[in-house]
Parts: sequence; structure tokens; C-alpha cells
Amino acid sequence: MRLILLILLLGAFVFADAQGGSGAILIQAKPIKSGDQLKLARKRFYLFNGGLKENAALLDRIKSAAFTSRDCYYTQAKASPAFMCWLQAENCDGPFCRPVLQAEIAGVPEFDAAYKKGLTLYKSKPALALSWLINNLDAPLVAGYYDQQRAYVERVLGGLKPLQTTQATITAAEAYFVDVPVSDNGQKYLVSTLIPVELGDKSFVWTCEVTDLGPNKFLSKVPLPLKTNAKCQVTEVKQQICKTEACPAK
Amino acid sequence: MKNISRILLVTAVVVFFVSGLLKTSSAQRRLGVFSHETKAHKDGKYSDCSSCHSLPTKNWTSARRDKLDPYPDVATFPSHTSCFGCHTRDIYSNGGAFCGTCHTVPTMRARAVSAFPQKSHKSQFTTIFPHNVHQDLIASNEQKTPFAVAHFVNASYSRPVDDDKDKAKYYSCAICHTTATAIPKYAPQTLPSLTAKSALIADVFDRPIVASFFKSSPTGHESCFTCHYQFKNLPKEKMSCAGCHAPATPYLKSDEIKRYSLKFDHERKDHSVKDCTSCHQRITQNEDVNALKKADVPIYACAICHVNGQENGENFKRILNIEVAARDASKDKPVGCTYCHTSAIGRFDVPESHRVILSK
Repeated sequence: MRLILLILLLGAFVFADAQGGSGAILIQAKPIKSGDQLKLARKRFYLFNGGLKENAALLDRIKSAAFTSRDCYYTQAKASPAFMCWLQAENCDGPFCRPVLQAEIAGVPEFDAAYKKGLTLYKSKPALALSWLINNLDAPLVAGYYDQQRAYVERVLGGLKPLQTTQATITAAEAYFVDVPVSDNGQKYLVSTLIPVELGDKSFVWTCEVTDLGPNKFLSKVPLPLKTNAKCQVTEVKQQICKTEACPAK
Repeated sequence: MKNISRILLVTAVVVFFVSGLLKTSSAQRRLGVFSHETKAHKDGKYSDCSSCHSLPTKNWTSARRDKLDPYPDVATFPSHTSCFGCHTRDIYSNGGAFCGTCHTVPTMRARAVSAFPQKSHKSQFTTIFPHNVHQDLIASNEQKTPFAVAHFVNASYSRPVDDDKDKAKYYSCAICHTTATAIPKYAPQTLPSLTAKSALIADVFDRPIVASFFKSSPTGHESCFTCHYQFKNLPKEKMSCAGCHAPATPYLKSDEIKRYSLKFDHERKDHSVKDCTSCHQRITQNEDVNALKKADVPIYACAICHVNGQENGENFKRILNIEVAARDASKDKPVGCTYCHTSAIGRFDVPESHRVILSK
């Protein structure tokens, strides 16, 4: 059970600004797997007013919403096995993740077709056909997965407006909320990934309460547990499993 | 007598032409800048940009003024047919002044076309760019190949994508923001809400400003067209010129970079290894770059490494403590917070945001 070994270390440091009336929250998202540190890099986080109790309806929607995993999305979009292997090779969500190399084109039917289309459109300029390849891919393979994630977020939000959203950094997997209003009356906030994070063939949403924002705090650590506790819920979401073809070793 | 008549005739002809030139010089005859905001230009069939503008323009394969390799672009003005639907008569009046709207010479015989766009003219559009969406779209799941964001420096279609086949590279901030290769125009930010404590003084730089202090930003179509040529990969409501270009009060475009800290070096050790958004925190939340009013890099970002650190002779680890203390102790002759700032910024009051960090 790989997932048993996965650990999410989500630490929140809170810089509070009493006089300015605002502070900042720093989220650190670093799963640990068999001693190797993985990171929830580039994942978007959402900030809400209120704690877990005040956002119970949101948590219910997270628990009940059906999520389409990346592999299921691309299977349904009829992507070729080679295209899916290209994504999986660097665990990419879509073709915006990294440049398509010239050497990869012939092996991926979608890339090959887009490249040839580009050669026609751009007056046989190979560099342009390669660099602008995304323009000539079928739309569902370009931003379709992103679009369905956005639709998923809208469903889960159910009309609720996040105060802010932010994105985790790439190497350190840290996400910052700045200009967060601070008061001395025990203001609570909720941070959530909302979009499930795929780990193996399961997906999880982390939703955590920040309770110790206060006017006299410069730095408040909120160590988060491996499993759901009073301040943090780690929710496994419903998802269909889609088996894909085995990919060649790199 | 005959010679006198000839002289008088020639003189008359010369006076006639010269007087004509004096009344309406070439510059005087030229009409004002074309406006997209007139009723005739924005209503009816002309409300559709493509009624005049084509993408690409026929001249896209020609050599470019900006020296980029040619790419399908909007590289010149709309064709004559766009104008002549309404302005046929205008080209015959006032010596062809109308022609000067697009041509270098305002006459009916004009051939050479002015540079497009005309940089001396005020821009009538602003660019809509949802930064957060672009950050999300280049996101990926857990990455298997370790890399540092700052190390992938490519931009637009001309990148050498297969120069290192064995190394995975990712689209990141650097896809649009490359390390500058020449020192750009730069200036300090203005601080209207703070009071200057002393006059401007000459700045001293321990590290002279070089190009690598700065990052570039996209300025033309070439970066956008990598993914959005002919409105590809955009939401339906954005699939037109108006998806990215919104009418604006005419303004002169500036490529000047304004900074709070002109001494910040992106390439300095310990800076270059950081993720961009470790410091550029507000941009991750930004839905419209034009709406970013506060500093993209809040003082919290600096404070993580530069406040309350151990002394050990390494002043930079507590430089905010040191600089503010020095300022407070020098009321008669305020010092300038020169570690990060030039005099244009450092001579002002210490802002509350800096003091709050130190007070906790």
C-alpha cells in the first residue's frame, strides 16, 4: 500500500500584522514517500473564511463530488496510448507541462498530426511547426483536462467564493496567502487544495483550518497530521479507475 | 524685357509652390492618429476587428524590424479596402493628407508604410492577461525529474527545444520571463504615501547593475501565439482580438521597469535557486496583471531570509533589523537604507509593513 507510506506535511506559518490589519499564511506541502520527499508542486490552494465547522457544507461537497482522474479524462478523450505515456513520463497534466521534442513527434500520433498541420500552415517552417505545436493539437487534449478541473471546482464551491487562491512553488512546494485580514477575535480560515491530488490510483483533498491568526503572532506553526484530525481533513475522493497501457521504460 | 518676363514667371511659380507648402506642411497636413473609438469605427460591421485586421497579415514572411524570425503576425496596417469603404473621397482632399494615417508621407502618391505599430502613438488598447490561469495550465503533477525553475530559460517559438534531449524541461515562469540580455530602462517606484526624510544622494552600488538583475516580459504576439495563434486554446468568449485587447484610455506604452529595490539581483547566489513565486507571491493570485497595485513581492518574502538571522558577521541575515535601527538612530541626518534601496526609495520613511515585521 503505497498510500500508507505517503505523508503530507502541510505546515502553515502565519505572519500576523496587527497594526496593518493583515497577515500572511505560508503553506508547505511536502508528501514523503518511502523516505523520498515528494512535493505538491504547483498545486493551487484556496482560502476561505471560517474553520472546518463553518465550512461543513464545503467539506460535504468535497466528499461527495465525483472526480475524473487524469488517466480517465484522457482515456475518455480518446488520446493514444503514446500520448498518455508522454504525459505520464514526467507526470504532466497536459501538453503545457513541457516542450515537445522533435524526437518525440514521430512516436506520438497526436503530435505528428499537429506538426504536419503546422508545416502546412506556417509555410514549411519546421521550428515554428514544432514550437507552436500546441495550436494544432485537438482542443480536448490541450486544455480539456484543465477545463474539467475548473468545472469540478465550481461544483465543489457551490457558489462559495474563496477569499484568495494561490499556487505552491515548484521546488519548495510552498504556497503563500498574503494580505489576509487579521483580528484579535479568533478569526479562523480554511485552506484547501479543492482539486484532488492524485497519488497512485487514489486522490485526496487536503482541507485545513488555521486558527491561531492573531495580532501578536509573528510566526505560528500549524503542524498537520498524517490523518484527519480536529484541524485538518484528508479526504479521499470518489473516482473511477482507468487502467492505461504500459509505457516503455525511459 | 523677355528675360524679365521669364524671371517674373519663374518667381511666380516658385512663390506659388512655396506658399502652398508654408500653409500646409507635410506634418501639418497629416491627419490625427486613427481612433478605434469613433462611432463609425466601433459600431456596425466595424465592431468586428476582423473587418479590417487580418491574422496573419500578408507581409508576415518579410524581414521584421524587431529582428525576430518571421512568424505569422499582425505586422502591418489593414489594407486599402478597409479604409476606402468610407474614405474614398478623403484621399483626394487636402493633398492626400488622409494617406498619412498609415503611410510615411501624407500624399496620394505615398508608397512606404509606417512601422506597425507606431510606437510614438498612444496605445488605444490594454492587454488582458490572467496570470493565474496561465500558471495553472503549466502545472503538472508530481515531477519526477528534479529541476530548478530558474534554470529553464526559453521564450516563444524560437527556443532551442531539443538542445539537451536527456534532460526534462518544464514550462515555467521562464517561458515568458527570461533573464535580460541587456540592461533595460529602469527607474525607482514612486512612494506617494510616504515622506522623504532627506534629499536625493548619489547611489553607491556594491554590485553594479547588470542585465541579469532583470527579467524580460513578453511584448508582442510571438509569446502568446505559441499557444493561441488564431485564437486557439481560448474560451469561446475570448476567441477574438477582444479576448486579449481591451479598449483603454490612450496611453504611451513604456518599457521602463520600475522597482522598489533596484539593487536586487535575481542571479545572486541564494536568489537564483529560489522558486520565482517564493518571492513573487501576489502574482500567483492575480487574475489581471493590470490590476496588480501592490508590490508583487511583499516584505514577508524578504523577511524570511533577511530578518532576525544570526549575526555571525553576516549582516544580510538581519539586514532589515540593522537598516531600520540605523535609520531610527540617525534622526538628525537620516541614513538611506542602502542595502536594498537606492536613495530615491531609501530616503523615505520606513513603511509600516517593514516595522510590523520587526515588531513581532
